[in-house]
Amino acid sequence: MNRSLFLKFAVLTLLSAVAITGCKKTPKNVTPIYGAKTNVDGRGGPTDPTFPQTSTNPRTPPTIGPGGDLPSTTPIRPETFNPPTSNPPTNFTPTNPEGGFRSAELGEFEGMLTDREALRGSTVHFDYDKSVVKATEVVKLQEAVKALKANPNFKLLVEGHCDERGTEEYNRALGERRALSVRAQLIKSGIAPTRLRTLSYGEDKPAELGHTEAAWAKNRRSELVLLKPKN
Amino acid sequence: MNLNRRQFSAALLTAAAVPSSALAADATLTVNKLVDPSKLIPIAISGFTGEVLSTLRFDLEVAGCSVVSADQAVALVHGTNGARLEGFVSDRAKNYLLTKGYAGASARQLAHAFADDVVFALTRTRGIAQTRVAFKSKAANNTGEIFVADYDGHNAVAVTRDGSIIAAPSWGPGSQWLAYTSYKLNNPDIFSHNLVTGERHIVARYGGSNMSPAVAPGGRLVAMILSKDGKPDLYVADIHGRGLQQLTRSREGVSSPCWSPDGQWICYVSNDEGPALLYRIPANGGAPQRLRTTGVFNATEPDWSPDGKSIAFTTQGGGFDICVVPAGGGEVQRLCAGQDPTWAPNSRTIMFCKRGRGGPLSLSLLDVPTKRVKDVPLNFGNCSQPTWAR
Repeated sequence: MNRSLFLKFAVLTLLSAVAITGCKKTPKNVTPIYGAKTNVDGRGGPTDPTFPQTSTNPRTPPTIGPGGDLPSTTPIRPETFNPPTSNPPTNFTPTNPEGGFRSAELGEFEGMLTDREALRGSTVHFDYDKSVVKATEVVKLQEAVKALKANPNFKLLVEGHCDERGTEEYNRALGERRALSVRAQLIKSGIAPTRLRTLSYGEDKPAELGHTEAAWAKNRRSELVLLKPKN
Repeated sequence: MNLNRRQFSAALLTAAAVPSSALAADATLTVNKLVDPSKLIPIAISGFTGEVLSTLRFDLEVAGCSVVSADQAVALVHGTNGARLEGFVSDRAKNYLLTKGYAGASARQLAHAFADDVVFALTRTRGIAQTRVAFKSKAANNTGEIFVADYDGHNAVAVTRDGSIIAAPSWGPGSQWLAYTSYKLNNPDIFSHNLVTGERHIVARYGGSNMSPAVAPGGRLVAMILSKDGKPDLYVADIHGRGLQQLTRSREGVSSPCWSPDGQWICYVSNDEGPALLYRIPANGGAPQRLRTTGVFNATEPDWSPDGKSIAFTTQGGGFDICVVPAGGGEVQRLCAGQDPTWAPNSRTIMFCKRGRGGPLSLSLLDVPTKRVKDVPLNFGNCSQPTWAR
């Protein structure tokens, strides 16, 4: 009698233990990004057929195996932390000698609808390895200024792009410099910095493929994407 | 029969081991006389077959050997491979410099382990045949993934599966972490990625672009380029993104930081004087110093050698060239066509990226003293931005 009671109890604890650990398991192929509101959903495999189909689960370490040169350093155990936030964008103080304006926080642009077509005509082109908005290109921005002034709820994403002549990370910084100088022009035209967001794609998103001067000239650009509030 | 063979090889090993230690001093002298690092070491390989032979040959050629016939070689690399690899290195006078057996891993791994021992026997420097690299592979739709592979491109494994634009992998502490830039959250943000658990953390996700992470030796700090304060400038934070400190306040913007091996300096690229040029700045703040690069008009993507002596970088004229300059600045030596160099732990070999005629970007290995280039056999997508685990 006593014994069967103990057995029942033991089975119950075992089952509940299994249930608890089972529940805690994160779904397969989902890597949470700590500090972000979004979860990163690692799909089963790369979509492009040019990638090799490795049977390895993304969670398994790509170790060399026995005889390999695995260092014995203790790995850092990262803990969850809040995303770093810059100072609230209440007053915009120029932060460097040239009067650069601090970027608006990404949260200010969350959940807005993107319209890539509205300001197609405002794409600004640049000279090779330059981030100066030429006088002939400044006029193209008037359309964007008009749209932003007419719709106080609208915001703007300024993308910077480069041609392939230049090393990748140099170009990523150059693209950002281009986006920032377009942004500076817009601020000069009276648009609040809080409504402007910049990002650089470097040479990763060419408008035109090909390795000719004609293609390169089209790729050295800044595209304007209108951001509209939902509803 | 089986036992007999085992006994025989054991006898062979002990027999070979005794003279090798007895003659070690003499043999080392003979070989060291031949080691002028800028000259290829002529060796002959015999006895090995299949994947072991091809792996061994590749490793030794990358390390600065040229494979010639036995009568022209200064050293003979010979042995057998089956379930177990028996390897020997002898000089022309039949002095044994190395005699060793290898077992318990794949044929490639055994060959790599033997190759490292051969390199040590011939040059008294540590081999790189068992090291790893990370790189970016870009698909036709511009998205890419980060891969980790053996230094020769084999055993490539995708670290990310995001299907978004990705860039600039950098190895973290103990080679168990990578930092990189991903556009996964619709902005260029910097992530740290644990290769063992798959965990990812945001290191920097500020307004503007968050680019070019470079993990410091020791792995506690990350240097990176952020544009949140109005220009792409150099910042340092800990591996979690905390304690952010702005190091440069440039007029035009900076890019691509790298660390000195002692962690005291960060070398980066600035356009403040017009063309892209190299600068260095104390890692805990201070005044930037121009790094003289006599002979070239621009310099990007620096990488500091692990022995601290030189900095490799890319210069651009008609095409891209890989160059090295002494770490204190000075005369530039042009090495070969290519871009984005990364040093191996031996401070001798460089991996870099080059574009075939109108074709995709691919990875190659360069032996700096002999200027010999060997391509890394990878047959998927555009491969670029290699970074060596060290």
